[in-house]
Amino acid sequence: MTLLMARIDDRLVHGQVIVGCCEPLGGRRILVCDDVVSRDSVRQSLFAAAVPPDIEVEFLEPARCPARLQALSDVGENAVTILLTRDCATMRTLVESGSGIDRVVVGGLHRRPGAVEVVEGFHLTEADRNDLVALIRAGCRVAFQSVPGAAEVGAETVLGDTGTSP
Amino acid sequence: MRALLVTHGELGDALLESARLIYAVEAPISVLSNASLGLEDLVAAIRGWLDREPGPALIMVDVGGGSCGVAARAAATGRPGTWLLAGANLPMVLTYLSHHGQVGPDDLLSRLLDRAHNAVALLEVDDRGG
Repeated sequence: MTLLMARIDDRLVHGQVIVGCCEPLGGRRILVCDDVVSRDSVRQSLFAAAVPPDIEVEFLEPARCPARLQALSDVGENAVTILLTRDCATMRTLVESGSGIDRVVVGGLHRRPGAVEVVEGFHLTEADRNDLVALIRAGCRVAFQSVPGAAEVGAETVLGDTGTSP
Repeated sequence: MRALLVTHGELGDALLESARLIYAVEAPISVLSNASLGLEDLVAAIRGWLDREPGPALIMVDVGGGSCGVAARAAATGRPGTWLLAGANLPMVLTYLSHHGQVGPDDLLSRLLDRAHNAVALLEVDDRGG
């Protein structure tokens, strides 16, 4: 499935996504796939307030995302949709559930307990590494890139041997 | 009214430092950068500042729709007497320094908005040759 972007970003909806991604790429829908936010109307209203009126924003629990992505693809809306997950684990769940995502951008993973900076501004825990390796083994191209046009670092460069070499 | 300036990168520090070059007064204003902070940590940091003292509080953020604005809204939810201003610029910070202790919150907010808005202007230039 050719989404405009499938992005891992622990800040979810914010300036880099709206201005840095939607505007230059022509994004018209942001699909936030997150267990917590999908059940928190306060957080949803906070994020929605950050989105300009010409961009739609949806909040879904991960279990419902594959069907929603398929529905968007059926009407040609996938090409203007940016999918956001807060963490690597959720993106892995989506990919492994057959959502059709074949390219993932790690856009923002900030400092957290147990996380090590692997690329300037990007921090991974051991669990994150395992999840990203799983994405690669599932056939996804994975790269670290804060916004389109910024320096892009392939995940294999950071993760080392992912067990996918011929 | 004390204030917190929440911005991307070093913008907040630069704004305050620059404002103090112009108007060198002490004021109850702190700076918080979102650098390296995930959203929840940023919200917690702002809440920590709010919890430090009772009374009215002003949070100025650089971009309302950015992580600073989202976090500030989340932190300020349910806290009466907390005001949020987006679009922080040098005139806004200068106005805060010069008026924070002299007028009440409503008057201060009005002045901050007015100065920040009116600072954006097309300047006329005399294009006649010398």
